[in-house]
Amino acid sequence: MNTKKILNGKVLRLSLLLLLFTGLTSSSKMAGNYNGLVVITHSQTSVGQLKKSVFEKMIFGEKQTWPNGKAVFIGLCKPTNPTGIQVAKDIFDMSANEFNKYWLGLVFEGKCKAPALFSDEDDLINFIANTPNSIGVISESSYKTKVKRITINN
Amino acid sequence: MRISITLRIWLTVAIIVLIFTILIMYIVPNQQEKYFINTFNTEIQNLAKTVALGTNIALIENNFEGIQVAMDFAKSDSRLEFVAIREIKPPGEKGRQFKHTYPPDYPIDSMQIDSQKVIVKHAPFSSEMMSGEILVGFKTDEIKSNMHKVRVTAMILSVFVFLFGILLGLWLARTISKPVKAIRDAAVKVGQGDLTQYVGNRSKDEIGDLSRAFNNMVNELSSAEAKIREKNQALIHTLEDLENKNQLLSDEKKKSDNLLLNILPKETANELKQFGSCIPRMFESVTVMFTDFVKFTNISEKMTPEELVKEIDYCFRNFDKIILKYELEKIKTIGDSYMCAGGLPQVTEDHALKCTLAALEIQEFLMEHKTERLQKNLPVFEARIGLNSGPVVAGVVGSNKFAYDIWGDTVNTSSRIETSGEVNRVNISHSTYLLIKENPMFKFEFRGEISAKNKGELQMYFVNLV
Repeated sequence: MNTKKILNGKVLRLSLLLLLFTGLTSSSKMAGNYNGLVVITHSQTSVGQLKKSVFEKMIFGEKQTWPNGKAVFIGLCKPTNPTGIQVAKDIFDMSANEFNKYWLGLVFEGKCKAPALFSDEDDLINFIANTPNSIGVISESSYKTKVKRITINN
Repeated sequence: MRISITLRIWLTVAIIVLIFTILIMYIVPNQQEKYFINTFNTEIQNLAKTVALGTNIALIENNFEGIQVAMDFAKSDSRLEFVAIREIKPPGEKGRQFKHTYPPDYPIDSMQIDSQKVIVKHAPFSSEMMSGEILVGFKTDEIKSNMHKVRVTAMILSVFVFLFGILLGLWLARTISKPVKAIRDAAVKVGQGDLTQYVGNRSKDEIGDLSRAFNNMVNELSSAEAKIREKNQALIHTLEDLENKNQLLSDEKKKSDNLLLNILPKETANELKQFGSCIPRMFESVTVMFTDFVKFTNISEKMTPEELVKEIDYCFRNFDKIILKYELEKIKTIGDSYMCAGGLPQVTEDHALKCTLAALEIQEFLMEHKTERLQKNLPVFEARIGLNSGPVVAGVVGSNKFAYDIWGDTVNTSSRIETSGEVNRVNISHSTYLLIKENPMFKFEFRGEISAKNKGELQMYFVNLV
C-alpha cells in the first residue's frame, strides 16, 4: 500500500511537473505540440517522433533529409487558409507575406525545394498520404488516420 | 603579256574560291554571331519572363511550383551566371529591400557586372504583396566559345574549300587546256603538212565537238590532198605528154622550117609563115646564073636512072655548097639545069662579083670531077654557065608546093647567055661585065655581039680568073 501510495505520489508529482512544464511552454512556438496543430507524415514513414529542433530545421527547409537520409517533401497550408496562417504564425513566426517571401527567397537561392501549399487541409492530407517521406502540419481537428502523426519532442 | 588559257581558268576559279572563302571566313561567322547573340538575348529574356511569371504566381496564388520549375530550369543551364529577384519599393517607402540571388550573395549591381562577360535581362513582376524585377545573367563564354568554334570550323572549311577550289581549278584548267593544247599542236603539225594528225578527245562537250571538227577537217584535208596529188600526177603525165608532143611538134616544126628554108629564102619563109602569103618584090639589080649540062640526054642514056640521079645529085650538092659559100640564093633546078641568083632577097652590091666567082668555082669543081670520073672510065658531065645582071621580080606564087622564083627579062636573058656559052666556060652578059669589069681578079674575053633567041644581038664575055 505504501509503495502504491508512494508511486501514486511520484506519478502525481511527475504529472504536476509535466503539467507545469506544459503550461510553461504552451505559450511558446517551439513547444513540442503546437496548439491545435499536428505534424503529420506519410503512413510508412518510420519516424514517429522528432526533436523540435530537427523538426524546425526540416520545416524551415534547412534540413532536407530524414534521419535515415531520405529526402523530405514539405506540404503546408497556404497562408490564406486559417491553418496556414496559424502555421505561419506559430511555427514560422511570420506573417503571410513574410512566409511567402521566406520561401521565395529560399527557392531563389536554391537552398531548398519549395513546399507544396494547399488551400484545403484535406488536399494537404491527401498529398501527405500519397507522398512518401513527406511532412506537413495540419489542424488537429482535421487529422485523419491515413497519415501518421509525428510527435515533436523538445 | 601572254596569259595562257590554263592560267586564266585557274585564276578565275581561284578568285571565285577566294571570294567564297572570304565569305565563309568573315561574313558567315559575323552573321552567325549576330544570330547567336539575338537568340541568346531572346532566350535570356524569355527565361527572365518565365521566372517573373513564376514569381507572380508564387506571390499571388502562394504556389511555388512554377517558380521552382523555372528556377530549376534556369539553374540547369550551364550558361547561367546568376538569377536574382529584387524588390522595387514605391517611392518614399522604407524598409529592407527584398533581394535574393542565385548563387547566394551574387553582386548584382550593374557596376559590378562586366557586360562583356555577362548579358543581363530584366523582367518585371508585380503583386499586391511586392513589385520588383527578375534579373537573369548569362555568361557570354558560350557565345565566344561557339563563335570560336564557328570561326575555326569556318577556317577549316575555308581551307578545304580553297584547296578543293584550287584542285577544281587545276582540274578544269587541265581538262580544258590539255585538249586545246593537243588541238593546237596538231594544228601546227597540220600546218606543216602532216595530215596524219588525230586528236583523241571523245568528251561530249564543246571541246569534244572541236576535236571531232578538227579531225573531220584533217580527214577532209587529207582526202583533198590525195585528190590533188592524184590530179597533180595526172597533170604531170599530161604535161609530160604535152612536152613530148611539143618536142615532137618543135622537131617537126624545125624540120618543116628547115624544109621551108630549103625551098625559100629565110626572109621569104618568115613572111610566108607570118602572113600566109608573100608579096612579090622588085629587085633593081641582081645577077642570075644558069648552068646546063651539055649533051645531057646522050650521056644519060649511058647510065641507069639511079646512077644518073646520083650523079646529078652529087653535082648539085656541090653547087649548093659553092653558092652557099658566096651567099647566093638557089632558085630552082629544072632537069639538068641549075638556077641561082645573087643580090636577093638581101640586096647586095657585089652580087655580080660573087656570082662570077661561084660560077668559076663550079666550073673548077666540074673539071676536077670530070678528071676523077675519067680515071674511073665513067661518063662525065660538062656544063655551060651563063650570067646576066638586071632587075627581077621575086616572090612565091601558088597555094601549095611553094617555090621562090624570079621573073623578068633579066632571067630570060641570063638563060640565053647560058645557052650562048661554051662548055667549061663562064659566059657573062654586058650588064654583068659592067659590074665587074674593074675588078682586077678577072680577065675578060669579049666575044662580040652574039645572036640570042628572041633577044637579038647581045654582047657577051667569057670570064676567067687572072
